[in-house]
Amino acid sequence: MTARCPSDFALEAHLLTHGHADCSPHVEHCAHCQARLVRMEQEGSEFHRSVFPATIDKVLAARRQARPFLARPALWLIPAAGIAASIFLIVRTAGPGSDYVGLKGRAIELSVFAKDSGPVKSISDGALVAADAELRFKFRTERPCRLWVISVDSSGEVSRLYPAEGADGELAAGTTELPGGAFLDGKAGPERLFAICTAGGLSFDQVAKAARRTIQLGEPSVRAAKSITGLPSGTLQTTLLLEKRTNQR
Amino acid sequence: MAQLYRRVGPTIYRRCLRMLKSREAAQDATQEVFLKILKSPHRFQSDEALLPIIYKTATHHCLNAVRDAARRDQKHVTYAFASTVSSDNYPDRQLSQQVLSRFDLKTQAIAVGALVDGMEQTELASALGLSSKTISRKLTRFLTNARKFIERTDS
Repeated sequence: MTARCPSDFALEAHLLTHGHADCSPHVEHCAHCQARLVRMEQEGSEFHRSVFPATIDKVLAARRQARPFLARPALWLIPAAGIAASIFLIVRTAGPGSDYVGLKGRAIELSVFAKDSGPVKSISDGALVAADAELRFKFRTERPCRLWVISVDSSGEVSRLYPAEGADGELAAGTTELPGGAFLDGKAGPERLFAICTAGGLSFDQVAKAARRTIQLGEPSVRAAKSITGLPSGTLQTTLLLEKRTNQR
Repeated sequence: MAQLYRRVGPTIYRRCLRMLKSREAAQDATQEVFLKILKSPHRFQSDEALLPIIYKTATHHCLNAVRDAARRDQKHVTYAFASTVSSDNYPDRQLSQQVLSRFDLKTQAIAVGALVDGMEQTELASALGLSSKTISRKLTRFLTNARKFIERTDS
């Protein structure tokens, strides 16, 4: 080979794209680069063999400390920008409570996508998902609103999924791919997601308190809950149940 | 999160290993870099799109780790820059570290990328999220000032 060998940075792109990077044609025919790749893969194996087992608990613990509201068997927030999903499922808007004053019809829709060891898939209400799956969201609203996406599990813990930080996120009318996402906590059991949309805005504390009041401890309560009561008039909400499963369950 | 760590962990680990030349230090750095990456909003797209974030975060983290280790006099952690100098030639290694430590973190990352990793300026610009002009300007300034520093040291 006469062309200049790519940098380690370019070789990382080659590995991450499974041989579809700009440098891949060179790498395939370059003995020197092949040898570098072997060394890099050996170091990757070293990570899986020694580094990952030695550090994963510390990583999880540090993450828990960094986000106290997630220090629970629920969902781990991650920064995110997009999702590779091509299809999405429309979650039925929950039945309105007595204090519901919303738009008629399907005013808001939450689409949930999960990625575990396989491809990204859309999630329907009550679907089984890998307990450590990664989630992404799309949200559609017919009017501008301030949005919370939260989850509630059978221990009564409430997690904020969107926005990851700050106050409720202001969204324009239309469909929005929500930045951020979540990682399920790896524990089996039901987890219920809620998208809550208000015109005036709510604090996370208000939302969490209402959710805890509405949903009792225990799996049956999480499965049965179709809406959060006690939210201000005009609040729109929609919900989706996930059934997290592990290999052991 | 564990899945993401499994996927991108090897890339982070390799970068840290390359920078720190110590498995123990690279292991610690890997988990810390991963946590830093998780804190960065809007940065989780495909694993490939994450690569520049990983490169930049790991490079900066390792440069800081070496600076801190030098303050604590931990000689087993060295600049990647200095590691390119033969270990038989300790004064040269020391000099390399001294030269690099005189510059800001951004310049250090550029110097390591260009002079140690052998990256082209456009590639380095993409990896560090800087313009090619900035890379060129800072690299030129680095080389000029490093030369002056070495000349002063020699004299």
